Parts: sequence; structure tokens; C-alpha cells
Amino acid sequence: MSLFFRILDRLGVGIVLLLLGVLLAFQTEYFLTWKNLSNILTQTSVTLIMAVGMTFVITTGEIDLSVGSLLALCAMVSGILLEAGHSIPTALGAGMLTGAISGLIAGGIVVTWGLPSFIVTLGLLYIDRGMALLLTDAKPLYGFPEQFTVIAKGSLLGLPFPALEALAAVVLGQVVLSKTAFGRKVVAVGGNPVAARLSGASVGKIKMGAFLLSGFCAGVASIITIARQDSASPIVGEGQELDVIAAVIIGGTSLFGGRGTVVGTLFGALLMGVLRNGLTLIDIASVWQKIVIGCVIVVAVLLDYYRRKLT
Amino acid sequence: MKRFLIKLLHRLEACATRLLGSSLGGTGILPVCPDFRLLRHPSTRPAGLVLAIILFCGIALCGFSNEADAKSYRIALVMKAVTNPFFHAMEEGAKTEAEKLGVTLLPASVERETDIDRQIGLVEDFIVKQVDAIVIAPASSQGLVPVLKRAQSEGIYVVNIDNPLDKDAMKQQEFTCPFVGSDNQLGACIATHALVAKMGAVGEIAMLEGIPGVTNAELRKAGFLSVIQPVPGIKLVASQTANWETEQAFNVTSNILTAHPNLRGIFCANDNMALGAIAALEAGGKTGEVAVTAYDNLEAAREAILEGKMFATIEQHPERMGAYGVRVAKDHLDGKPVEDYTRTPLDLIDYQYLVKVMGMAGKK
Repeated sequence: MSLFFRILDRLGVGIVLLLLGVLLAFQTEYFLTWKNLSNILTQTSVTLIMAVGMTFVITTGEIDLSVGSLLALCAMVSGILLEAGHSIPTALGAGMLTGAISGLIAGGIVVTWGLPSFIVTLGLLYIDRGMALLLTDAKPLYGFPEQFTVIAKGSLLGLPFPALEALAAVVLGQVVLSKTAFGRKVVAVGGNPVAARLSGASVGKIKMGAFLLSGFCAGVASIITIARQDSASPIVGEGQELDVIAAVIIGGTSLFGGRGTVVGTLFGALLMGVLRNGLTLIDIASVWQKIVIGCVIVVAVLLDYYRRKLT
Repeated sequence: MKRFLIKLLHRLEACATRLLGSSLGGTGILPVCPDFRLLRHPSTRPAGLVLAIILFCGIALCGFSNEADAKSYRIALVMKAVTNPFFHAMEEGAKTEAEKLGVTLLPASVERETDIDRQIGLVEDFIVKQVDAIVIAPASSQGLVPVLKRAQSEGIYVVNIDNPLDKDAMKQQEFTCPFVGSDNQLGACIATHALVAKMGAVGEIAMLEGIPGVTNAELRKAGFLSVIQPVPGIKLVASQTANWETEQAFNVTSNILTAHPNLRGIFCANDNMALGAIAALEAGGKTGEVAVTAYDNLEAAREAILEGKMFATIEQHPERMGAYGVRVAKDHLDGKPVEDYTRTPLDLIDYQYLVKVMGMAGKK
């Protein structure tokens, strides 16, 4: 029995995901098809990319609530430039730059005045959403050049581009978090800011870096959003910041900072995606999905609490 | 066996650690804490187990209610917000027709009117399920076109109901499909005519719009404007969006009232927003002074009309949209020709109609 528990703990979210997958595979013949699995990855790609950035922020002990609105703002910026006839790289680059700038602003305010990131990013949530709506007077833009939609429709080795981009983001994120000095400092800052500062890490710069990443990821994710809908809508991403945070927490990153893996976030996002997809495939109303996801989040945080108590 | 598994686990972990670094004390590919002591602690053992059990039971139980017989056509009905009673009526109408025609209906909806991404996900899931047809009331007139085009190219028949897909977007994607719905512009005209008549063709008027850019919202706005513009005595003081939602409408109306205390009429692009508007009027003590007309004929709206809080609404028969949508899909699947545009009728519902035609009890 203890072996069973040891395996359960080792694999954590991964094993829950696996169990869920096995169960769904038995319930419906469509779940385990390549198409469905790649669909799940594509559908979670936007949340996942933003969650990669969010992992860094949460690991430093902060939080970024503005990503949902930032998604819309970056989408509108890119959309306007595409409509005006600018080249695709210029338009997309501008979108990502917008994300980075918003992230820098968030990080700057939090670090300079020592304000709680919850409030600062909450304010930015409203500001970014307002600006997204302001840019086109709340009207969506559509009709983008043909080459642009390849981003959403194209595929390589059987996986659609959005899924590949999300996976690339996960790999890059995990490498940065676990192999670079910046990544190690991110974990240190979240775990024990005083010790981190004393050992040479500039806490302020690290936190700003994390927020910058989070904003940049929102910019990258906005590209996929506009490509999939072939339109830039100012109302996208409403409430999505909560999904992003949920993915990070379920994946094992501690909300209190100091512990986090991007691969865990991948599993967390996939778990939510599999739940949504699986329950739809077996004709369960979306309201149940919310209840289950909510339970999973609470249990994940409980596990984290006890983990901290013991170490 | 036990020892083999433990050894394997250790080997995997060592591998992973080498690959991905040990920034978290040994957690390589596999997330979660590296501390085995955690599991011996009695308080944590239940947590993971409980989690697994919840998910397991939930899915196992729910999964028993699977689809019916495989021979009848499977038609998916993708709607907008499950929170809007308008779509309940649509689903009921579709269900009744599906039973009559002997097809299997798979209804699905999203939570909010703005959940475009989620709706796209639903369509993708139905593509995977290889349904025979998708009847859809799109949340975005442009955003859903790419995924519907993909559904069509996979051999799934698409029927557009309620909110028309954007014509330019469809042309760009070379996508066509039949439409079942009401003439939104005409309906708005009818409602606005009634409102203007009630106001005696004089006074300040405001409009609560639907989601900007969405076709039926734009059509209703156009209908409203076309009626009030030629009337010299009517002055448009505010036209703002509340995104089809009741709460937003409450706030927007309160603000409009504060800025324009002499307001005498409001046209709301749907009933949900009207309910928010009349609540704001009540809070401001203006019930009876401001006439409100809207669209959708929800039960709550009928109640409000009977109580004198609202003036009129438009019935656009969502149950018929659902039903005709299913019928059009079945006809096409049977190889019969179908109309490009199937109209659903429009009725103006006011106090007189409810009392005299529907026989309801007036409370004014």
C-alpha cells in the first residue's frame, strides 16, 4: 500500500491526468483519437502559453491578474496593424511588445512601491480591457491576410501550429526556470527573498523579469487567439486569468512562491483541458466541469499547504 | 516486483534530474514534492486519494448516460449562453422537433455570451465526434467562421440560426450555409415604432446595445436608428452596450439616468438587458416614467409587462429557430433541397397582447 502512495505522490498531477485519460478512453471511443488529443492541446494552447509566464510570476510569490485583458489588448494592437496593411511580423511583434510593456509596468509598480501585486495587476486588468475596447470602439476586427491564418490552420508532423507553439513555450519555459541563473533566482526569490538578496540576487529585478515574461507570454498567446478566430475581438480572455492561475496551481506550483515547474503547469493545463473536452464528449453540461475543476484546485492547494508544513 | 518498481522510479528520476536540472531538490520531469515523508503523514494521504476518487466516480457515473442508437442522424445544437432563458426555449423547440423527426440531438452551450473561444472548442469537439450536422447560434459572427468552415470540409452540415454569421467573413473563407432566424432589423423597427408611439413621438430616448460587431446586435441597432431618425420630436441621448447581460445593463442604465434625468424611453436589444434596466429604473424611482421595450419575450419580461414595469417586447420564437434548424439539417441529410433563408415570425408582445390574446391576468 505504501508503494502505491509513493507512486501517487511522485507522479502527482501526472497520474491523475493519466487516470482521467484512461477513464475517458473507456467511456467514449472518440477520446483517444489523435485528432481529439491534438484538439485538446490546441484548445488549451492559449491558456498554456500564458500559464508558462504565470508560473514565473507565482514562483516569485506574486500574481498577475491582468493577463486575460492583456490578451485582448495585444490582440487588438496586432489586429489594427494587420488591417492597416503592415507586415505580419511587424503586427505580431507589436502585439508581443505591448504585452511586454504592460508586464514591465506591472512589475515596475509592484517593485518600486512594494505594493501587493494582486491590487496592481487588478487595476491593470481594468485598464488593459478598457484600452482594448477603446482602440476600436469595442468593434471586432476581421479579415486578415491569408498567410496569417496559416498560424492557426497549418500543422507540422500532425500537430497544429498552436499546439506546437504551446509545447515550444513549455520546453523553453522549463529550461529557463530550471537551467538558467535567472530561473534559479526566481525560485530563490519566492522561497526566501531575504536570503536571496543576501546571496546576491536583485529581488526587484527578478520580479520585474517575471512580470515581463508574463506579459510577453500574453502577447504571444494573443497571436493564436486572433489566428484561430480570424478576427481580433476586444472581449476575448474575459476571466481567462483565472484559468491560467488554476493551471499553474493544479500543476504543483505553490501559491506562496518558492516552488514551481513549468512541466507541472503543462499537466495542470492539460488536466483542465482534458476535463472540458472529455465531459463534452460524453455529453455532460459545462456546469459540472466547473465544479470538478474547482474541487481539483482546492485539493491542489491543500496538498501544497501540507507540503509546506512538513518542510 | 516492488523493488523493481522502486528501482525503476529512481532510475527515471535520476534521468530526469540530469536532463532538466535539480533546482527543486530532485524534481525532474515529474512535478510535485520530492519528499516522501509527506505521504507517511496521515493528513495528506487522503488528499490525493480523494482527488482521484472524485474524478473517477464523477466520470464513471456520468459516462453511463451515453448516446442513443447509432442509426439515427446525430445533430449537434451549439448555443450561446446557457444562462439566458432564450436558449432554453431554443433547446426545447429543437428537442421536440428532433423527437418528431427521429434524430438524436446533442445540445451544448457556453456560460457567457462572450465565450467565443469556448464555443469554438465545442464545435471542434463535435467535429471529433463526427456528428452529421451542427446547428449553431454563434456568439461571434466572425470568430466562428473558420472552425465552421473546417467542420463543413470534414463533411458535417452546418446550419446557422438566430445570429447571422458575417457575410464578408463567410465570403472570405468561401463558406456558405443556410440561415434560420428572424429579420432582426425588422423586429427592432417594430419594437421602436411601438415605443415611439407610446412616447407620443416626443422626448429623450436611449438604447442599450448588444455586443458590438455581432450581426444581430448591429441589425437591431440599425432598425432602431432608422425609426427614430426621421422623427423630429425624439432625441437620442445615449446608446451604449451592456453586452446582452442583465447586471451590466443595470449599471449602464443607472449612469444614463443620472446624466439624463428627463429620459422617457429605452430600447434594449434583448430582454436580459431590459430586466437590468427596469431594476435600475425602480432603484431610481422612475418606473412608469420611462417606457422600456426589448427583444426576446422571456417569461420574466412578460411578468414585467403585466406589472407595468416594461412596455413591450418582441417574440422571435426561438423554439421555432431550434426546430426549423433541426428540420433543415435533417432535410439536407435526407437529400432534400433546403431554403437559404428560413424565416421565423416576429410578434410584438405588449400588455394588450398578453391579456387579450394569451389570456394572462393583468396586474396593473
